[in-house]
Amino acid sequence: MNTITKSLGYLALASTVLVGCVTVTDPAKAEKDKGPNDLEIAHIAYTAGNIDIRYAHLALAISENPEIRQFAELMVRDHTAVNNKALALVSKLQITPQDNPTSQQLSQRANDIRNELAQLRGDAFDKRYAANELEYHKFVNNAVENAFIPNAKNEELKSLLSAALQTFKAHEGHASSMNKKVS
Amino acid sequence: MFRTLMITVLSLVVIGEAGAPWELATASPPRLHLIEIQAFRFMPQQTIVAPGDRIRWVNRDIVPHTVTAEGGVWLPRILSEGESWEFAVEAGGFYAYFCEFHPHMKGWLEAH
Ligand SMILES: [Cu+2]
Repeated sequence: MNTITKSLGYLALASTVLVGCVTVTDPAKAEKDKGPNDLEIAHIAYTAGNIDIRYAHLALAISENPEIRQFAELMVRDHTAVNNKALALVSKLQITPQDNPTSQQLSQRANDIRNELAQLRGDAFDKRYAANELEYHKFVNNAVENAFIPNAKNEELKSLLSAALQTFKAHEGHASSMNKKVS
Repeated sequence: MFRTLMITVLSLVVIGEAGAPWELATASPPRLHLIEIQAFRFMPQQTIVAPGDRIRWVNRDIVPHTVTAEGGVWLPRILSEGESWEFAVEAGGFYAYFCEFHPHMKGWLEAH
């Protein structure tokens, strides 16, 4: 039941991401601007990476399981690399990523999960962390593949998102095998 | 075909007369093999080499990877985006390697 509620949480968030988060006044414009714009995509993608880095740091502080720790180190390393690329692109294009309701909901939800994880120790922590990583990467990959890449207008942003998706899909695969090992 | 053979024979004769050692005409010079790390794969995954050849790995992904030999044949190298590293194969044999960060990434060299 608990797990179902949690899945629903990501599901509700997913629909926000997919439908978009642009406040629309002109109905004609509404047709064109259904998805998030580039500045919002950049903000959401960066936020999503940072969230996973923070989960990982929590895991490195709490978990003693080598599998979990190795995975967490991978998350810090890879998401830092991807986010650094995003920052480099942002400064090259001289744009400012735009905060938006999706980023805010994502951060809010991540705070709740971090608080929940911080209470747990031992196997209970490892299982919850592993389950959340799998679910989180599935959610992010769905958003990147079906909302961000199709909506991105800037070609460099599009290609960075594609490279990021490859990375996150590899993580999803790792998370899946990590779940089998800790359960 | 016959014409090509004739030209080859003639040029060997010329080299021979110029005093170049005959071994040069038969033993192939060391080659450089490029292995690209792309989309979380070593490409090509299998590389056939000759002892004396050099291998160059280049990371085309945006995240760091390692080139780590099974059995510690060489010291593991970390390659960030765009970085490359070369290794000279000295002896024949089978060299398996992988990425420590993403252990599903595997490749091998066959030297003979
Ligand atoms: Cu790797």
